[in-house]
Amino acid sequence: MTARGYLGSFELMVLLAIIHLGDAAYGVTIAREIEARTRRDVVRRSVYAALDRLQDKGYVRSRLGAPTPERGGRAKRYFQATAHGSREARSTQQALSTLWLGPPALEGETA
Amino acid sequence: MTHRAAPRLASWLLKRLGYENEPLAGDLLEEFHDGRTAIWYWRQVMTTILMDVPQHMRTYRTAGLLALLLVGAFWLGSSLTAPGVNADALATLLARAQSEGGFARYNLFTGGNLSRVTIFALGIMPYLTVLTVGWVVGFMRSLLRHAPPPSAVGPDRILAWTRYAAMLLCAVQATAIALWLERQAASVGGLSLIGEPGGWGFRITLVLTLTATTGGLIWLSEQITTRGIGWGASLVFFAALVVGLPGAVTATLAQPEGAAGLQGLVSSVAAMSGLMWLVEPGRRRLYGLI
Repeated sequence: MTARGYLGSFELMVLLAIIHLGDAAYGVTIAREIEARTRRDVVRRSVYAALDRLQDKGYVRSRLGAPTPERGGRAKRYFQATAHGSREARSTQQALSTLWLGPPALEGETA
Repeated sequence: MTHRAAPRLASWLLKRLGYENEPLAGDLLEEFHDGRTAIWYWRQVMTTILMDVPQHMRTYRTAGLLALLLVGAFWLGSSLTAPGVNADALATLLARAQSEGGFARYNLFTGGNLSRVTIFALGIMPYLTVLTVGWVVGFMRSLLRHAPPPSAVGPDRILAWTRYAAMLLCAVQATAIALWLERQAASVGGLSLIGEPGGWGFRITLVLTLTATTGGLIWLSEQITTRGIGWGASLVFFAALVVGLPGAVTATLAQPEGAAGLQGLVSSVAAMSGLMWLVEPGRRRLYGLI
């Protein structure tokens, strides 16, 4: 695996949200999925920044939906994980699990 | 079903200052209609605008680099006197020439390069003169015929002719400068304005130098225009102005009638800018932009 292939933590969250959501993954649902699971506010522009990076790396692909009135006539951009993206998510998860095996006590935590 | 309106100013700012991202704008609107507060909407919009700044900078990087190249070229060229010209003697004459209003203003439009006979002595002015004359002729013809003149030649041919006419005008003006320098000659404070005896060698060298540099500026201005960065001729013109303006203002204020001179200077710059604003639609038509 090359250094370019590594996923950042937020990129991994976005990619996993897309995998969870399946066909319904677009900006709003992805952000809400991450907010619901992490209980943190998510800046919408950050989601798109991560999505652009993931698309550049070939981990997701996108397509435009139909424009709707509640969106001011703007189309949704739907995202789908590629096979390469799914493999990368799994590989990152394994790498993180290995690194977390028996770590020393972190500052502020009791061992 | 009607939706409550999203904060207009925020939406307007997002459209103007955000980097085109229609799906994101739609997402924000959808969530606002789903019950998000105006504060939430504003926060998302402002964060988006801030995060888009680097993307805007990347987009305008080429334009910024070209602008820097232009100003740098003028700044460097302003210190290079044309071959065969005696810079010291010219400096003595400069004070006298500066006091002649019309000359001083035309000189300003070349970034002060004309009075010092630098390699950019004529700047982009011959090209602008031809463009302006072309615009006036076209305007008069359309007035006389009460309709736009039929286009007998394509934009490429018109541009080519504009270029040739500008180069011809440049050669004529450069010859006039060479002859003028020879005539002043005889001396200014005991120094000759030209470093060596005049004659065809000096004239041809000066004409070739000034025509080549103006040709280079015309090429650069057309590169700027065809790359869609802006109207190249006006950018080159204003780059010369930016480099020459501080010196021109200082020199004008140093004269006894400094305030009146400054007024004249400001009105000349305003008039030239206005003229370019008038010529601009013609240029846009030529390039098929409107």
